[in-house]
Amino acid sequence: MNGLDAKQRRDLFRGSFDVMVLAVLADGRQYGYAIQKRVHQASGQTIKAGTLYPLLHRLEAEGLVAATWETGAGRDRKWYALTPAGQARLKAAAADWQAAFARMQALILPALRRVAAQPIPE
Amino acid sequence: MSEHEFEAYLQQLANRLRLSTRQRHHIAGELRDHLEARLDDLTTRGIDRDTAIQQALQEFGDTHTLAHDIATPARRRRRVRIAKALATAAAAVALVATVAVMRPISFPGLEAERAPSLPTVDIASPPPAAQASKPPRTHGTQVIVETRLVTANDRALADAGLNHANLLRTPTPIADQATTAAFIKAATTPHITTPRLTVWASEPAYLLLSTHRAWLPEGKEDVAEEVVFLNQGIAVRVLPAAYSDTQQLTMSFEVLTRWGEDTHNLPPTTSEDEPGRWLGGRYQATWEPGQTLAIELPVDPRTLDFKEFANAEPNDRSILLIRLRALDTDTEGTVTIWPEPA
Repeated sequence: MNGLDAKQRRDLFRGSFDVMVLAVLADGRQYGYAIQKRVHQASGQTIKAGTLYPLLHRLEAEGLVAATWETGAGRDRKWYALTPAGQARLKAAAADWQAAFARMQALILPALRRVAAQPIPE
Repeated sequence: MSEHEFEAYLQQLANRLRLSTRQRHHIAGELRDHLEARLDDLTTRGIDRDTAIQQALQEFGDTHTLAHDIATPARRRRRVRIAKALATAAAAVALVATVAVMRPISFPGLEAERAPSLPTVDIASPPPAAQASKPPRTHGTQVIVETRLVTANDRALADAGLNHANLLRTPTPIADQATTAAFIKAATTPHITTPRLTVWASEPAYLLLSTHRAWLPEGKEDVAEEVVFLNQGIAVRVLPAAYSDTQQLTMSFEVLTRWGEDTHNLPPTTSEDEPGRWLGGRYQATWEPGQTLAIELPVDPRTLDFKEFANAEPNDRSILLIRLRALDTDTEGTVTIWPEPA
């Protein structure tokens, strides 16, 4: 029996791409492609390239990340790092996430216990 | 199929971006880096090159949508910058002129060995407000002061503005109380209006305040004194004209000051060139969503003393140089300089 389908799983995270990117940058500065891979590795979710870069540029415009350019191995690379404002946003978003998660658990876990006590009809 | 497809895609995207050439170049460069890294990854996994190129491009989607999505933050940022430029209240150097600060106060010369070192100022803890260092003077030489504030993003332009012929007129001595009172009134009335000034991370703004010295003729020629009538009231006030109801706005500034007697003996470029010969600090101004209050970045009070000396010529000047620099790309903005009403 399946739970959430792929779209529903994606929708679960869609509103939280910002915080996922900020969380990746909390480990240190990264460039776009590495951020995308790290998010996928950690969450199983892929932020499409066409979504990731507008998001990064928006975070930059909002002052939540700061970007620098470096040249290495013949390639120009734009690196992103968390700003103090980004750290503050991450903290606030993490608190929201935890609160939302706790509320969902408070709803789901008792329900799970109730249905687990009942046999699943054939 | 080849990597030329990347370039064709990026060119098409750039053509759709209604941004500056520099911004388009940066965006194309960043996406090129991603595309090449993605291509390397996919081919390493055994996917054939043509398929990998196609997949990498598909992950970005069509250029029309991407151009719209990626340019929106940049355009919004530019709009904020323009809004700031047009705003009447963005930042101010507040010049407070009062009778009390008309008194001459001596301060040490500007010899290098006596110049205090550039303090390391905690960005969250600006230095205390200036304190009057001497009691008001009740007798002695009265003086005339002429000031002019010049601002520019280019030191040469600022110097040229300051050396304008208007500044070289001989000050008129004050002979009686009525004239003195009139002068004080004039000095305490906002009258120094400067052009708006953009402060970029890569382009500091220079504010040059010129002060002429003069002295009364009645047997006081040997006691030439300079008066600068901004003993306590100079500060950089930053007020975001464009603000957000939902986003925090953060701007960082470096405010450095330096005295000199001529533009030529003022430091030419940065604090790094002459460590220890600038005064000032770094400040970060943050506005919470919806906040429209001004945040004051104090200029180091030690720059606001007076210089006392003998043998001055009527057209000698002292110049206060303020170098205002944005510290990061997030600080792009425009400031307006004006004297604070008395």
